[in-house]
Amino acid sequence: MSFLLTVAWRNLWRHKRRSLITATAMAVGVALCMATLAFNDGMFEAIFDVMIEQQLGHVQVHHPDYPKKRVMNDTLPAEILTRIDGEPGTVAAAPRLQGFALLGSETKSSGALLLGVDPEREPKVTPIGKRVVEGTFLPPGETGGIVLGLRLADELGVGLGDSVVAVTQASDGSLGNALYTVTGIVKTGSAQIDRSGAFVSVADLQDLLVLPDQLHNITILTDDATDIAPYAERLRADIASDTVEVQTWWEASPQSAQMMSMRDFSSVIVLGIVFGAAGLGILNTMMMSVFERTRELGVLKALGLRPTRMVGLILVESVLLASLAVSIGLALGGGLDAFLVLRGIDLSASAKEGISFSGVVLDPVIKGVVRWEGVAQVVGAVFFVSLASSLWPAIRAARLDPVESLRAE
Amino acid sequence: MMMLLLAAMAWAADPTIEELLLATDDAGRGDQSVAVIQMHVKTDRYERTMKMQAWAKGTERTLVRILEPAKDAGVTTLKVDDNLWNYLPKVDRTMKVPPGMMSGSWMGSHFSNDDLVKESRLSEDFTCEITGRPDDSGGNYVVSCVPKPEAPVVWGKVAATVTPDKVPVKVEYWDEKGELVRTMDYSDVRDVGNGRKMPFHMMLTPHDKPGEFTELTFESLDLTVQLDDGFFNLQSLQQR
Repeated sequence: MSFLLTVAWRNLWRHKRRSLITATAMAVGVALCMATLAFNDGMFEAIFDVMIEQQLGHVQVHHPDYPKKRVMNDTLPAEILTRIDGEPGTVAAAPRLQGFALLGSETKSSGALLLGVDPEREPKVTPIGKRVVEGTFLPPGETGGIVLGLRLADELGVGLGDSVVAVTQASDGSLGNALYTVTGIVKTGSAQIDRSGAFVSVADLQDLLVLPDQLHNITILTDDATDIAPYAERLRADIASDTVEVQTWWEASPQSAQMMSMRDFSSVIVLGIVFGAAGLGILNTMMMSVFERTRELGVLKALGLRPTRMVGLILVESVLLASLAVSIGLALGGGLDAFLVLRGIDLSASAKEGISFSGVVLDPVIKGVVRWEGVAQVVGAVFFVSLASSLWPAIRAARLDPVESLRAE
Repeated sequence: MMMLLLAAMAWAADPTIEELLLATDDAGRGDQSVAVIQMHVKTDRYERTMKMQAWAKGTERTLVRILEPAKDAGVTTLKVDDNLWNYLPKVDRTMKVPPGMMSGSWMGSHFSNDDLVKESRLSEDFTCEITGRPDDSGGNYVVSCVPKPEAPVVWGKVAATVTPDKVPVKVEYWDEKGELVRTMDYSDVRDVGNGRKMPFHMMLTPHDKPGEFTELTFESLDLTVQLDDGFFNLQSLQQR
């Protein structure tokens, strides 16, 4: 083996320029692949962030009929929250209640989706506090405040400190009405919430809707986003019943799950395209080097090199070439990845309002995310493609007839 | 004299279609009225009873104030033509019901806001004919009506059953697909003076919601009041 290694190494450097050009081409392929994967993963992480973490949470608890029918009376008892808090693995749990209402200022009115949240718990589950563009989010421990979506506030013509009337049909059929004071204005990125969403404390909404100690939904963050299923299973065993359903985010929103599964699919396409091209390059290089060295390889054969060892020689050459390419590629790709992770790509020039993705608006600066398994896939693919594409030239070399090849130029 | 009496009897025994329609339109209201009404609503989700006072002048003007329960007392609805306002004493605000919420329920009952606003008169918005007479319809008249093309009416067909002495028994409403969607039954007929009789109990049954109903019981009905058009304005809406 060390003999083959020595000969192969020498062979590569006898055609310094060709070997370097091939290695560089492959290295650029590796680097571009790494950068594309980092960008792709960054994009999906951003989508995951907005879609899952902000809206769905990791695990949801609700009345089994509520997601489909949205009947106000399909509620959960609020005491379930204490049991969720006690479940190992729970990082934060946010109770929610919601209902449609007519909001009115002194002069204008507009239909709105009232979202009753716990002012203390909600910011631990969703980054809603960071989306406040004016004023503050609902102050913990207080009632009577309301935080409006940006466009809803515009439509009502109200600002901080103004009062807003909410009117709705309560669960007992009465005409629920209440007066709230605007404490903040949010821009969430979700078109629906910005246009018609309004946050009030869950206690206020329970009063307005006459749903004392009842909730529509509890959204939970767990300690490990990649290992949600066992947590959900344990919670299900503890609290699920005819009126309490536990769902993971992908059960709660299959279309989100489908979108996230596109991540792996698009990675495969990227790898395929780049390495299809790289494979042809290597095939070409190895074929050329076999043709060029017909006489030389013939001599080796005449000296008694067995065909299997001949195959081995060519394969070792291509593995050495691939190693060289991977080393350069990792250095180049590492640089590109570092840039993507630290600086990101700013798409705001082409998308002023941010990138809209299925009703979710993403931050226009996409930052790269490097996953080690992604890099490992790229490296593995280089070696695989190198070996596969040099197999044919290697077999050709092994089949050389020494007499014929010695005659060759 | 004998002839005159016979003529009068014939007249009484054989009401015209206009009289039948008017009797239906004016049930519980008359031309001008003030009434105290108990409303009992039963749905799958809740059951509630409220007491309210209602002033009406024609179909264009209505003011309804909730008297009981205490939680809702003072909530007042004003209807003038096609506009509807609610006054909410708890927050001391008056809100106009926007077009998007007109199909919503009024005070949790089976009447929608639209029902109040588009309160249509059979005698004005419909083309009607008598399709049943006392001898073949169980002693009552049946008047079938289809809306006039331009009338702001959501029904495809309405049929009123009225006794020969001009008291409505029931009104049935079909949608545009020909499906019976609701029935209003009238009972507890009482004398209201001037030889007029009116039902003091009405029951609305929505057929798409089995087991649910809204029931109106009149505790008093005064048809002799004189109400000014000016009474039905935003100021009186906010009066306690």
